[in-house]
Amino acid sequence: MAATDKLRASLATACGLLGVAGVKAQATEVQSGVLGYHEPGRVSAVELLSDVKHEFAGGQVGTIRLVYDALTGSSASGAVPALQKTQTFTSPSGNGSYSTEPGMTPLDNTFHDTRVALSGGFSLPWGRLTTASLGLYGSFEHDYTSLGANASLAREFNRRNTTVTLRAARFEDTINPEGGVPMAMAAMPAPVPGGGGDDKRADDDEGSDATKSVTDLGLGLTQVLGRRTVLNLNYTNSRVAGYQTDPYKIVSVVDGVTGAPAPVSGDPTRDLYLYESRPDNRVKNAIAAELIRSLGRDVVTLSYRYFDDDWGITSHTGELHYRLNFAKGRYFQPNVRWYHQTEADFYRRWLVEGEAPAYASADYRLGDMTAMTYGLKYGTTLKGGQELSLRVEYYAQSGNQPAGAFGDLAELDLFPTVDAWIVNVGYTFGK
Amino acid sequence: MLRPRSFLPLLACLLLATGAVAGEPAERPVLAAAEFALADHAGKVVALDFWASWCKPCKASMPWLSRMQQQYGGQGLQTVAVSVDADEASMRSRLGDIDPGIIVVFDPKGELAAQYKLEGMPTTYLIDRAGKLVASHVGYRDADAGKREAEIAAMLKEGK
Amino acid sequence: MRRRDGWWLPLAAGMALLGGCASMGVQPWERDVLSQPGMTPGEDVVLTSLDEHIYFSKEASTGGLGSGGGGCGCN
Repeated sequence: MAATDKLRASLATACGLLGVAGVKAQATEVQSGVLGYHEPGRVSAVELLSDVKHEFAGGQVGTIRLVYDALTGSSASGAVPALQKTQTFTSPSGNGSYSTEPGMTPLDNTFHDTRVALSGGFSLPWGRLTTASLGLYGSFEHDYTSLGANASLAREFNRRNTTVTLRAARFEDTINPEGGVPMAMAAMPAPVPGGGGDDKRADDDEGSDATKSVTDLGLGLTQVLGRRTVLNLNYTNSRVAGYQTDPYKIVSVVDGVTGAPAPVSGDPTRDLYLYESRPDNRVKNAIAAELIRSLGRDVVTLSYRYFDDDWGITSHTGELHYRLNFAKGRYFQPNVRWYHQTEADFYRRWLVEGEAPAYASADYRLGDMTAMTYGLKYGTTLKGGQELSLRVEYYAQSGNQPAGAFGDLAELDLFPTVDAWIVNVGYTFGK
Repeated sequence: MLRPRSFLPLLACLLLATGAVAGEPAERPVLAAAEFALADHAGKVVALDFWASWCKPCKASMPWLSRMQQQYGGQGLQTVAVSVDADEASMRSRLGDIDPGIIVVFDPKGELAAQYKLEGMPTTYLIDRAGKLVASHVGYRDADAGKREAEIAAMLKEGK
Repeated sequence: MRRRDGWWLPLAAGMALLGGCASMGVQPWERDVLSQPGMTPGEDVVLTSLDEHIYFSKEASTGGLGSGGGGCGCN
């Protein structure tokens, strides 16, 4: 009897070990996703992201991330619509032009781009409770390059109930816009077929206008509040120095009485548009809090962020996710996000003939606006343990008609709602 | 494309599986926390390991502990795996990874864990033949396996 | 109306002090729920990155929540 038991025991062990032979202590986890973004009548984008994480035998972790995205379609140029005439604009290259019908928001459709970004990171445990990480980043588009490095230090306290993280990052960006860097607030020149655009190009000596550097500092705190509750707090400070203007955005100059486009002095057949200009320095602060709470089988996450910068912009972001868990790793997660920002000090929806401010931008992304996102995510775990998810979201940005709209401007929708559909598929394996 | 070495365990599995169809014994016996007493194992080197089904590094430490039990069980090693899972079903889902020679204890309220002042998950306490706590290892990484094995082997040599 | 410069200093200090609350939290063996999916801050790196890119491109604010902490607290 004892002999049979022993035989059975060793067989069980052999099978057990065979079963766990597949468990690797050195694990490689791959998380990837595809995102489709579509603003009806405007911009469409596709983004692919893949993140590979490998844990080594000593607890070190290496990650590599690859991102690819492609943008097509058109985006608001910043000019105001004209009530009674067709407007003609010079394309960014300076060689071509495009037109906008009366009453329509001018959209620049010469705009498509692809971007590839590669980043890598390595983290080292230092003792049981400390982790140090280093990373490098590179992002490449035909008119924009960003190179960066980052470091972080995380330390756990109170038997791992408290985690404090210090983060620092530095980015050096180079901007080489099509047609060159426009001089601040310069008038948009006439198109020169076959080459040109020299009129608006900054002096070659002013190479510094086409670079910018970003320095980020962050402090994070994660605190376990209870068996079912986690609080995550984060403070970020960011300093940006250098060229922050969007070289493709313009500001309309209108007649002070009629609100119609003002003509270029010396060439009344063309309308006057000025290239926007933003200050060279920006200091941003943001503080965010996230509360994660398990309710029965479900998880609710509530987060809030307050943002403030020295361009006069303040914003509030509130987000709520509710994860409804079902058997076999399946879940539904509806989410809602509310965002509100105030306009930048130099935000001007239009300029009146004769005005010559040092900085002005009509980019709606710097204006007073509210944005709402509504989404639903579905996730499931496949037989082999891989995770698959699908998320559909609707995103809409809206703002009020700017105060003081007069003449023709008062008859036009100067801040149309911009909405987008977002679909995202995620796939994770190796967990 | 099975290599000769892996063929034997596979064959063994098939034999065991046929045994399962024929009607296997009841589920594996598990001790309650209150039933476990270190004194019962006086004279043996005890590796007291605290684990849970939700603990990811435990998935790597269990095969290693099983190997230790098989290799050194005959020399007087007794591995005790204490699960701090809150429910029995979760604990039982992982018993397949644990060598039959290892004693499994179910401690859902963490009474034993509190008694040993557990600092982190997983933790392996090494107790010598005289019943004295000699070492406690918090966390598990494959890189530490060799060192820990040498420690166990040394403890087994003394006081024989 | 603009806030005073450095308004964030007391907040950051407050965060640092909060970390000193040793009485809050759970025992190492009580982290079963915390280790479940959805309970760890910054878990979904892909979605976080994709969303951040969208909002960075369409809005004027940056900076969000960091990741790390929580979870099973293992090793």
